[in-house]
Amino acid sequence: MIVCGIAPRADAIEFRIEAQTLGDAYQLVTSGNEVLNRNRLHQYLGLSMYDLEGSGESHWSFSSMFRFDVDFGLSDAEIERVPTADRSQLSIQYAWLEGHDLVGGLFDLRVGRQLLADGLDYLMFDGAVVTVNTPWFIGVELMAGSEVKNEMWGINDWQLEVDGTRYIAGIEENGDVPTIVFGAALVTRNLDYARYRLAYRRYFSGGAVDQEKVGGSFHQRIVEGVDLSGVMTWDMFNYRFERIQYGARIRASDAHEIELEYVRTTPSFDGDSIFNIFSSYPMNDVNLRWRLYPSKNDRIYAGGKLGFAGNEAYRGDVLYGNVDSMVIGYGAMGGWMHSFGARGIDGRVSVDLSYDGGYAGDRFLTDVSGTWAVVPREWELEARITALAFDDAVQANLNAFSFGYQVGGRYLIDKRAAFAIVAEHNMNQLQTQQFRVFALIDVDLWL
Amino acid sequence: MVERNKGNEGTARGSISFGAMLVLGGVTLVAVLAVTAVRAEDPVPPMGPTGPMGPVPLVTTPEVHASADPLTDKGQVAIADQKFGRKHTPSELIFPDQTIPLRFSHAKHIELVKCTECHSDINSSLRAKDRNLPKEAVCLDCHDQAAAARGEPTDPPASCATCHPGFEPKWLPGADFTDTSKVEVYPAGIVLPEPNIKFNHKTHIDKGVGCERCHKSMGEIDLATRDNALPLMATCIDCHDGHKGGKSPNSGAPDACKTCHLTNPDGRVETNLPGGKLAPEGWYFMDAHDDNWLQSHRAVASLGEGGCAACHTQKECIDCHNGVQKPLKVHPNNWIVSHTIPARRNDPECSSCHRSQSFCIDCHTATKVADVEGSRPPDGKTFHPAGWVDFRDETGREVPAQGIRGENHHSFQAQRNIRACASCHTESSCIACHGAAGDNVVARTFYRISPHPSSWTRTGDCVRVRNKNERVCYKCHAPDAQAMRCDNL
Repeated sequence: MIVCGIAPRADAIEFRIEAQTLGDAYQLVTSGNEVLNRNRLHQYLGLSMYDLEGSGESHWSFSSMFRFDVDFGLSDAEIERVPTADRSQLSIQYAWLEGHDLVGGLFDLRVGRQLLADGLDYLMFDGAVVTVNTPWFIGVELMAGSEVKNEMWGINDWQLEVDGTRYIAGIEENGDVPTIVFGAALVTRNLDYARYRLAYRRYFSGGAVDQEKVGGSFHQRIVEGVDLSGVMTWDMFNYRFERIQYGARIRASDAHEIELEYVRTTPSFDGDSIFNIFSSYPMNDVNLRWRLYPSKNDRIYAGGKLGFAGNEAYRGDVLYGNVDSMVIGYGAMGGWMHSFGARGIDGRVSVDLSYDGGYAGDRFLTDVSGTWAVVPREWELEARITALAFDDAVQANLNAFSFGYQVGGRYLIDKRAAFAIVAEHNMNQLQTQQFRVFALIDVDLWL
Repeated sequence: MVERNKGNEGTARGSISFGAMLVLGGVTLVAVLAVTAVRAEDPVPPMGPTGPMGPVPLVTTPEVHASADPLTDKGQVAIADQKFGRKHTPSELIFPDQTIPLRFSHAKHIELVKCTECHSDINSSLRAKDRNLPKEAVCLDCHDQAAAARGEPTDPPASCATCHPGFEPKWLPGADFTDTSKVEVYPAGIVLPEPNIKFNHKTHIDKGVGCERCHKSMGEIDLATRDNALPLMATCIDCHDGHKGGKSPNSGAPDACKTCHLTNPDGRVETNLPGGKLAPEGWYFMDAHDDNWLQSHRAVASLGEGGCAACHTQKECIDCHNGVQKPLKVHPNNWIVSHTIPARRNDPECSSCHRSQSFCIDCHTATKVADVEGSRPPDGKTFHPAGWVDFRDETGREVPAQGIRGENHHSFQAQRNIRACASCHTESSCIACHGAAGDNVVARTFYRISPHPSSWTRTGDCVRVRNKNERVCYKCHAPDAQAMRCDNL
């Protein structure tokens, strides 16, 4: 949210109205070299009430966010081929009643449509989450509800529906069958510089399991300046790790910092999807990043990455030619950022370079961007220039040098309202010209 | 039709690629080392002729040291600027820049007087914005400024310039030097902007928290500034840990962010402060909102909503993760044309924000790069290399049934990153060849290539999947097929 409102009086129900209007126009080129103009308008409307009991303690609140999408850019024929690109759709992003610190802080409660995000996945669902806060450094979180699915009601948003099933000709889908979700989690509370979470979640519809996962995540500070984190998710449907991720961040001194991360992923889909069967070998990524802080206003970073993935164990008569049993991707990146004024309030300039090679293709990127606060906290201009050379190793004739730039600005009309606009223009051999304009009006009022 | 075989995707892509990486890495390393070398040391004075012990400095004290009088504001700034690297000092957003044009030493005063003799209102101070500084009269109790103005010797020194560096008063006609307001021009004033935090000195003092607990060793500090005398958040957390029995005798104080931070009426931390956007810098947790935060915040977010929700609403999650427009700061320019390579590598992870069978395939359908009726590429155009779907025998001849696979065969891609496949294809594409259902003549007659691993029935995977959700089995197998018994494939 760009702006926040003024503090209203205490000891009364607080009303908040958020309105965000987004205009987005851009061009796509089809495989037949037709230019497809997309012109879209999105209107968010948020209505919230806090401190419903009016006591000043703010235990109870209500929050909601609606979105109305209008697409002006597709013809009727195109709409037919893009079923979810309806010309207009109203969706409820979330709408819940929430209670905090109930019964002397023992319970938290949230009922309604909500987004749940943790190490297992995202889940948008209609239901309830109850958290029991025990006095023994641990909380128990219980949840149950119905997954929000596109094909069920007219006011649903489909973007977070569990992935994997779509458009299967001749086979009945279960899009209109409710998917019930329930789960539980143990979460630590009040530990010094440490947080742990262990969660289980199960989705099922029509008597069959759609997904079942258990996973944990943690953050632990070992000593000051050395932090570890991790995420591990076991897919109980496919009996394999969907994700293993470990990271470390080491602040070697006031000037140096190292960030190291290993990620191993094997995609999981809806239990109704046969994609689960094909997905059998994990992708592994190792990322290393070193940061140098010459001063409070400067940051330099350099890093490298290595990705690798195997193939099935071959039998001697299965392959011909020189086939690698493992593919490797690699890359390096570096950059510098300088901010002007405290926390960049007067502006920033940054330069980023990156190179990717090996598996899937080569890609070299140079990006220079900056912001300049003409009037700090009121008028701000921004610009970005990107030069990109890429050569796709799999897709035939997909290689080009591309140049693009963005220019834009932001005007904080008031502490409760802002306007921003950004225009983008790209050029390359594959697509001679491509334009994009993005504009936003953001209003946030506390009544 | 295959337009061009790009060769073995898994093989290193030649010396140019490797060279480019080396050049990039080398240039970056040299630049970093150069900056480090220049900035890592204090300013080096100009060097003169070489003497018996080596080069002789032309000036023995660099200018920056000459002005680094720790009793003054300028001196404190100069001392701070000498240090290479960022310092973990109190936030300038929480405590906005202060101007203290005085010359003062806490170290000298604290030997003689208690804190409360000068900061006399501190025991009753209820708000962080209380200045709690002594008035000039308190200073003049000991510093006999009037005597000094008359030219008499004083101990301690009491001229105006003793505390107001460089200030020479021009007294108004008739001034008797006892009233310091009787001057033509006042010395520069102190500017202490209101802190953006909640704090109640009285409460803390009443609970037995001594001055030194938060303000550390004032006996070692000359001029007190934000950087050397105000507490870091770590000091607060020592007691505000939410549980008894911590390392601090005052542990057990509330640990909610809103206990100390300014909040909006919804209880979330007010991050839009006059000096800029308040965001973690990673001093306490792995939550530095810096250059890699867009990718690295998964680790913190995976711990549940609690940490993020202190400042953010779900609207902010949805803006990106369920967005309807491309946030321009997430991907570089011209992403639509160039996203294929990152997507195949899954770097960044597409599924963090996009579902393949909704977001990806919708756009690919519209642009006719999807294997969906009516949206296939025109003129038989294909996006895959030679050998993507065909089988060959030992001599390299194509055969329409099980055989041996070449380096570009799609099975390898599917095994590694099926999401990339699912961004253009639906399950129908797979079933067309891999399906074994009774009415799938093509699959049954020609291909019928089982995608299951050889251990599928032996390890119990088959039974488990069938028992959990047999609907997925029916997409390829007839309900009465032998395969549904999971005893043999």
